[in-house]
Amino acid sequence: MKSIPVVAALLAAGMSTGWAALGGKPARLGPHVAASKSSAGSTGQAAYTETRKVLDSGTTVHEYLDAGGNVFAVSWSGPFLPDLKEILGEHFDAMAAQQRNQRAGGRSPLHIKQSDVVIDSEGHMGAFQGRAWLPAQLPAGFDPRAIK
Amino acid sequence: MALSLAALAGCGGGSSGPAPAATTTPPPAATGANAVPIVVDTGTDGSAFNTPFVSVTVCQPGTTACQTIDHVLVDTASYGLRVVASAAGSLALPAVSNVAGQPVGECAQFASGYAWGSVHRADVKLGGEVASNIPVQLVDDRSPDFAAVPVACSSRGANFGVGQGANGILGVGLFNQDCGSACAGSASPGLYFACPAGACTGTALALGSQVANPVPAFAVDNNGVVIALADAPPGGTTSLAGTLTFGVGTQPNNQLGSAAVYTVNSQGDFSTTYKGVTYPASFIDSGSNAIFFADSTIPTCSGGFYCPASTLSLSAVNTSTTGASGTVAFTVENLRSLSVTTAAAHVGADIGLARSVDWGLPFFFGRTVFVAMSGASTPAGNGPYWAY
Repeated sequence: MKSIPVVAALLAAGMSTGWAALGGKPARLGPHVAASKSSAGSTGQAAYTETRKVLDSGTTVHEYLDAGGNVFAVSWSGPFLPDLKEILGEHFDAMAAQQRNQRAGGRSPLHIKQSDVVIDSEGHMGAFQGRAWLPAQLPAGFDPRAIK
Repeated sequence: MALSLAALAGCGGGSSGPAPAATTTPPPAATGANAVPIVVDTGTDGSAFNTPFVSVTVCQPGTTACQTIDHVLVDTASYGLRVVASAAGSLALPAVSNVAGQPVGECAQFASGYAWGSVHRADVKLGGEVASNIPVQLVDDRSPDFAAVPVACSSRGANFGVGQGANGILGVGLFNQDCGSACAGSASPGLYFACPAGACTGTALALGSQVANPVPAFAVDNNGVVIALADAPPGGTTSLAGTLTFGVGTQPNNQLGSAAVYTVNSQGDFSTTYKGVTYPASFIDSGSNAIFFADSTIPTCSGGFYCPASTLSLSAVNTSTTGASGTVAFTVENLRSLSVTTAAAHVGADIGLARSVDWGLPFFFGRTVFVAMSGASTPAGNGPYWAY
């Protein structure tokens, strides 16, 4: 496992005045973070930092940061949806637009596969899961199936 | 994910597709005070697809002032009744308040977006069953206190309302409330809001004030529901009939018979194995309009629906939390081959790198599916479980 400077990356993120979530620095999620933890990870040749935040709602958010501290993938899992606007940043609009385009009838999972972003939102009332990543920003060798 | 007529047309459906059959196998009859008919049609505006509807009568509590609302989606993956406020007509339903006496709004969460509205009490009547004085959501309530959607709600996704083509959603899944103890103790889940003078902030809300699945509130036949639908023929159909029956093993018309029981975890999920991959968070969802599963070998078209060159016959294995398992055979037709007037058809859609198989409405075609409520006693043991 290749190690990378986790602390430096998190400090840089914490000191940032702006935030951009997916594609930028980690989402703040402000007072709603009940616990957080970060660790170095690797899949194949790719090295990255994974942060795990447990929100006060009980939902867990993972963010995957590249060597520059930018978020290239996120995921969420738990009883309630997190603030997806904060987590997905500018890509929230892609999700919302798709949701609006597919209004008819039933309520169903969402799978968006665009060249710039992939977003999955699945589950049901009381048990949601989802993940999103930026195909062009993935560290070399990173397999999206490694997203928790 | 849902399909509009435009999406069908965009997929190459329409004039090129064969006309769907007008009728299918004889539908199960809605007989008895504990049963209401289901229809799968194209909804209030022609846009619905693979969506099962019932009519629900909503009354001012303890009175005969009632409104019957048609085209309410039957949803086994949510809990509680939500109707568009405009469909409730002139009913004066008492508002639900938090402990501070402030009027309560709700941001109901779905993977496909949110429904914003106010919370009121009503008597909910389905056939001969009555859930008295239960909290329901009035979605898209335009009254001043609820006219603006809080940012803490709109940040969860798009405003889905109750979905195009529907007047409401009847959540009759495995659980009693749409939130539960988490919202009774805290505002953190982001579901309930206190909205005095239209300034909405998150609030805790007692269990008895939360929007509730009406089934446990019935005097009888209150341990679950049974959904039976006719099968959809190859090529789909313009209308499909079925029955929503209340109670599991409480009456001659809701006996389990030879149905196999699939117990679930605390989230209401079991596992599904498809092509060697196990999806541990799988569930049965009458409110999803396709079987959503991951298979990169099947081509997709508009909206992520699968469009195989010819109809696929597939199978998966569902395994309960007790280890009981059974094979489910299912078919996936090419969405492009369907007429734009199709209301029901065996279709599938890509769910991405998911942890679930979402057994949507096509799973119900030609089946009788039992939903046993969490904590309720049934002849096959306590819920929650599915049986089919």
